[in-house]
Amino acid sequence: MATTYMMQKKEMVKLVDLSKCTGCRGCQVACKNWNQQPAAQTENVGSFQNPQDLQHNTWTLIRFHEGTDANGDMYWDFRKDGCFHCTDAACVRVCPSGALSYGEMGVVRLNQELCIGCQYCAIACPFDIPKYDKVTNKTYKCTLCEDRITNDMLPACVKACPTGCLSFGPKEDMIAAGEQRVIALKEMGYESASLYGKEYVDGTHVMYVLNKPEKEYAELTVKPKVPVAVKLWRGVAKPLGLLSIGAVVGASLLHYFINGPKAPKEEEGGE
Amino acid sequence: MDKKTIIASSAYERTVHWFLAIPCLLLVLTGLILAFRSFEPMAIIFGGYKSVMIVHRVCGLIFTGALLLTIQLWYKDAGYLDGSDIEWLMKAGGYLWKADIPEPYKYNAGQKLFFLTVAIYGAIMVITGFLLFFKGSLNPIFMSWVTGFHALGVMIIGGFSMVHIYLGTIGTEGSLHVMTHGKVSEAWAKTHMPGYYKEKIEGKKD
Repeated sequence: MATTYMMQKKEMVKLVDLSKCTGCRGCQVACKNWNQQPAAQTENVGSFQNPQDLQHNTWTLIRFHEGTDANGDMYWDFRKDGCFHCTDAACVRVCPSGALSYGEMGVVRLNQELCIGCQYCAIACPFDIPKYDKVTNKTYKCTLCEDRITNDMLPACVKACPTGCLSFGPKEDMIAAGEQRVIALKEMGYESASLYGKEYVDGTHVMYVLNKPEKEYAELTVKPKVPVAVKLWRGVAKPLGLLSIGAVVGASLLHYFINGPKAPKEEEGGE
Repeated sequence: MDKKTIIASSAYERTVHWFLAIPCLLLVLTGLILAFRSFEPMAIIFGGYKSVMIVHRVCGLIFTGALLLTIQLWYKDAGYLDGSDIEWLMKAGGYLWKADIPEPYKYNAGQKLFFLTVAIYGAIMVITGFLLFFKGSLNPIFMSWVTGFHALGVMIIGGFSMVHIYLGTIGTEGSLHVMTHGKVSEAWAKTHMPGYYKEKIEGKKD
């Protein structure tokens, strides 16, 4: 099915239907497996979530969130976290070395060979995704399995998902499927169900079907966008910085050619 | 004309100046390379981005030390602006159009403004720069503002430095001597440091 689309190198989207996630963490293990990353020794902090955050060698993670709602009913949410592969990616905007770039099919690519460990991407990312490793002095994140999808395979996490929570396909198809699912969820009584990611940062390439309001998911960025400071830094500081230096050098030379240097008074013949 | 000279700066002042100025120029250059992708060809001069980063950090440390000495050295003579300085600034120091300008003591209002800019924004660069060492462990939103303010320094300090360099070299004859060997002609001192000149001459006569 998806094979032909992949051959065409179309813009692809990974749809994460959180209403179907059971927190089995098959995706998390498959990701580690495909990318040959060892598990780190962790501590029990009273949650099934493990590890506690994304790591330089943990590119996807199920976040567990439990509590009681307004009616006093217990809830237990699972959210698959990882890179959203933005269309307007703050990390690509700020990367000075070209390590971060736009890859094929909507992927935001991070080439560790070019990475200088400056961590600007980690600062700029609205989702707090890139993770820095001190040992290699480089930053890492999900690749959307660019190596697999450009070779007609599903991303490792999607391949492993047993519940149908994860699916992968052309952008339009995934948006249509997501919106359909949102309608179905609303009919089931989940009034605040929504498709997360379509409108943000010019469209993410990982989208969520949420069955609750955005703000009720642990550590999920509400209405993510490229940070204002990043826009100022790239859009204002850069052109103005160069302009000011260039303009001043130009004006100085012009001043020199028109007025000449300022000579000491007596040499001018004054006094 | 050139037989009589006046000492305009001490060896210590000149040393501090260059310990501040050379790292500052390197910081502007390496900073631009680190901040903006389009400067990639210049990274090659330094031997790649890693070396650029090292140069930026080492120069940052030297700059920090030199900035402290700079402030301590010059804040008395240049760390304020008074009424006549404002008048000087309104007339752009007579550099752009002919104007009668108030006579400064040793530093004119433009130089004072440059000192204040370097002292204040330099301190901001030092603080934000040191925060950037720890960027991994601080709040990302906070850090993106820190980075933004750090990047603005290129415009403020870099831009003003170009004026300083122009007026310190070809823009006013003989000015470079103040920061090379420190000896200037009497005519130069009379023109550019009238208050200081009178003090020296009168001091000699007494």
